[in-house]
Amino acid sequence: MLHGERVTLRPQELEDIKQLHLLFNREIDLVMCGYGNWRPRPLGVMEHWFKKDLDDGLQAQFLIEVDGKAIGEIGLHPWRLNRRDGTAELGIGIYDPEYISKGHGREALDLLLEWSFVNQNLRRLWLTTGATNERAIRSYRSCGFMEEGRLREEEWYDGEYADLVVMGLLRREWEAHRAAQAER
Amino acid sequence: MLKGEKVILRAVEKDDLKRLWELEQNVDLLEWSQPDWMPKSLAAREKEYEKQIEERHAERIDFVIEADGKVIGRIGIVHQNRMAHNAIFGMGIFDREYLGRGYGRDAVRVFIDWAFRILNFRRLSLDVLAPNERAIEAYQACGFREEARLRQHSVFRGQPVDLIYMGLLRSEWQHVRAARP
Repeated sequence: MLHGERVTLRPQELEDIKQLHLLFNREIDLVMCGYGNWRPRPLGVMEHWFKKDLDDGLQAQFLIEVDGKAIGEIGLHPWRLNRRDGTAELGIGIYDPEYISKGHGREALDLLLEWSFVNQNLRRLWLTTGATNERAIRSYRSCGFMEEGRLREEEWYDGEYADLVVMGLLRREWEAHRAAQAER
Repeated sequence: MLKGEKVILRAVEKDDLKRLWELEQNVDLLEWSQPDWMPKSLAAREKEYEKQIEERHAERIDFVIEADGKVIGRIGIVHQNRMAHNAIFGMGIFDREYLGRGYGRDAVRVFIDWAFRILNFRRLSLDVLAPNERAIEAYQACGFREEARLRQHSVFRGQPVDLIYMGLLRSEWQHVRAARP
């Protein structure tokens, strides 16, 4: 478990899928849920995926918990974890509307970054996000991520084609960023 | 099969596996697209091939590139997003004799014409290691442009190197195609 001031990251368990399913299927903000990737998902399907990942030996994702309540998930995409190059793609979703724009996502990101660079010895983390998701881009920037490019019209987003932004953060940049923040 | 000026693109047959496996031993050529090359037996390749047929993987679409009656490389779609109508592809010429002579470029042209005209994609993209200038030039000649540079994303011959993402939209392809002789 990784503890922040308000946020805890812990491995997802089968019982947690019920809560994630609830968050995913109530009145949702599609942008928050990856927009185009969202579709109605029966609980049985989500539990099946969870068990299949276990069978395939895939590393579990973290559950983001606040006050003992699951609000979203975060983790490194198992297919984009490259041990030889020391790189990984990360993903985060805060699915509980009550916890948007209050800094919980940022805190979860800081915990994941520290774990990835310090405990997992990764050299570079990267991510992609829709260009229209300005809230997310601001949050990634504040963690030290830098925009590395835009894949033009890669995404179908809210009825229109939109660019996909690629962001990256090298370990030495993260160290410098963290030191600068500690001084403030 | 798809015909270009110099090459033919066709499905990978079981009989091609031996030749592809032999080409795969040209590590200094393979590592441009597979910087983490490691030995794989012909038996392992045959098994992968069988598995792919059984799974009927709709996501991947593989071609061999043939010139003068022999297989010189491969090209194909590695990922596709049917909702956003885009696809990521990869290409490699692994026969030394056919490098730097326009065969790869011809294969890419034939391939993208197929992807836009027949498969109805509206955007194609690829990634390429920054030091691979020959490939970048060929992709640019086909209309692709650099869209992102992932800093020190890969390790090539012992050095951290950037990975470049390139993209081509259908509207741009139409211009490039109209300008072809």
